[in-house]
Amino acid sequence: MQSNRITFSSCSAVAPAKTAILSLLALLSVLSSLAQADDSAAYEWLGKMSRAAHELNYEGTFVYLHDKQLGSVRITHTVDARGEREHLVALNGAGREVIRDGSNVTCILPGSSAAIARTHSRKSFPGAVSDSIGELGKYYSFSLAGQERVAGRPSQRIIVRPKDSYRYGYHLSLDQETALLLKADMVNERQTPLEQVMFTTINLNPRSAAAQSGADDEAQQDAEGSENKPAMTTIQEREISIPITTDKEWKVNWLPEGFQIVEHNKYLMPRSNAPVEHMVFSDGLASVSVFIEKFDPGVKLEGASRKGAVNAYGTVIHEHQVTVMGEVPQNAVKLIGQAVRHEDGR
Amino acid sequence: MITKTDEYCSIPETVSGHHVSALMDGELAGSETGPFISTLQQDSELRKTWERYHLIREVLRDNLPQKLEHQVGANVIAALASEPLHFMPRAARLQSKFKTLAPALKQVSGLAIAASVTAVAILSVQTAWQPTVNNAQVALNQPAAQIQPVIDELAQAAVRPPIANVNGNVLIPSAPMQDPMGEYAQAAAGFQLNLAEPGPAFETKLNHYLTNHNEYALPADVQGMLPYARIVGYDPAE
Repeated sequence: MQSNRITFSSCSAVAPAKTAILSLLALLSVLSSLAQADDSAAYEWLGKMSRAAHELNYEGTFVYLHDKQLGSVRITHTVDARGEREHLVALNGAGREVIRDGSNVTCILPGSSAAIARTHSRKSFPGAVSDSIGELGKYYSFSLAGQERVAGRPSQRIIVRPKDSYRYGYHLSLDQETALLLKADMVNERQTPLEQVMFTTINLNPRSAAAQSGADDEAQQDAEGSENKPAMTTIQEREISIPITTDKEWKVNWLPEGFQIVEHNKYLMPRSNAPVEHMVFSDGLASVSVFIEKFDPGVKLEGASRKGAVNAYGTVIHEHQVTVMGEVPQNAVKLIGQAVRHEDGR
Repeated sequence: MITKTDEYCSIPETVSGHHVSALMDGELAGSETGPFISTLQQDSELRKTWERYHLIREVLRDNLPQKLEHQVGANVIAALASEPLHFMPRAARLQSKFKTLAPALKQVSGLAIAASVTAVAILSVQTAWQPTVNNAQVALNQPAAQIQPVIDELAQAAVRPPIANVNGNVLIPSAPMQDPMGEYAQAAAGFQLNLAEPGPAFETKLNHYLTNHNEYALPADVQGMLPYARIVGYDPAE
């Protein structure tokens, strides 16, 4: 011991520093593994939340706040052997409804007309959170943030924080018992909410679940063999989508890290014979659309616009209107918009 | 259940009325809605019922617009027949006959009520898009009179210290000092362009895009009800 001390005496100034650094490193690694654990725990909650959203029967009322405007919506979600169904009805103002039946979505806008649209089957079910953090962990951090009460139920708060300025964060509250999402805020970098939804009442054992499935059986029988079916088919047959022939014509030269193309379509917009090319990019949580169509001097979209948490940026490139839109910050849609190139080099 | 089946067999019209009512109240069974809406499309009488019910509901809620247009359903069908039905999933693309003078900047114009009658009936048309600029930059460069839509946010932004960004080379709204390229000055210019050319077409196009974005973007469950809330939760009368 004595000799050691002598031997290292020349390093006496360094040794404590070294020790300090080592212990600091050790502490950091402990902290980071704790953070990791926290991340995983929070992420596990999200996985449960994802499943709960699709597997539970519930009905309730939630409020929706954006741009200082408040609305309330009643939602009924049922799931049985035939799949998932969801019905949303706006409770204030003019009636507005969305009915989702499996992969078909119907929207109704009263005060004007029945607005009917059907989708094809989706490639994947919307937004199921995968089981491991994986890629998402590179762009977001996840943390538990204590408990709160939402709609009279104890719930677990989760904070999803973006790691760069190209994404928004989320403050979520999940039902302690079922992990169903009871409250969600989309927040900017100042943690200011841009859009908020929150259940005010929720019933996780809706009385109608059993009755409804009985009614459904009847309805099913009514529907089968009736004249209703062809109408649905007709609608689907009339849908028009145009094959993309100009695949390589447009390029998006820059995207925030982690964003990948998930859809690429070309179709006609309403009241227009001009096809629009539509690319969708996603990082797993947020998504950005790029729309490209022949420039129409009557409708010039240039610069930035916002609606709730959705930002849009328009620019005209190569006689085409390019519009970038997504629930990401303004600088993201802007930079993406400025990185769109035509093969002719602009 | 039995009663209901009997009714259905013997008094179909009443039941249709019942269906309409149930649909509006969110009480129609999930698997019934699809076929019923198909019927609604084809049955002009039923559509009238549906319109009447909505009218009644709006009257009861004291929510009537200043100008009413009847037989919109019929008009829509006529409009549909004269143009191809384009694929625009999740949302409606049926145009109402309402005159479209929805202001793009309703917060500026204060014409909020008018929007409910004038908006084109495309799904998410109801809420005006707001031109945006970098708040802090605006505070520095723009006269306050030009930035009505964001004036409240400005007030908030003014008392918030800038937050350091993650990458150091990224321009973020809260860090106006890092704007050597004048990026946000450009955004501000875009803002003025928008102001110069607002209008229904501008508004409508962005809303078409929004609808399609919501459809194709497969939003994550993390966003919960937000994607649908964007559709249902926007109140045209706001």
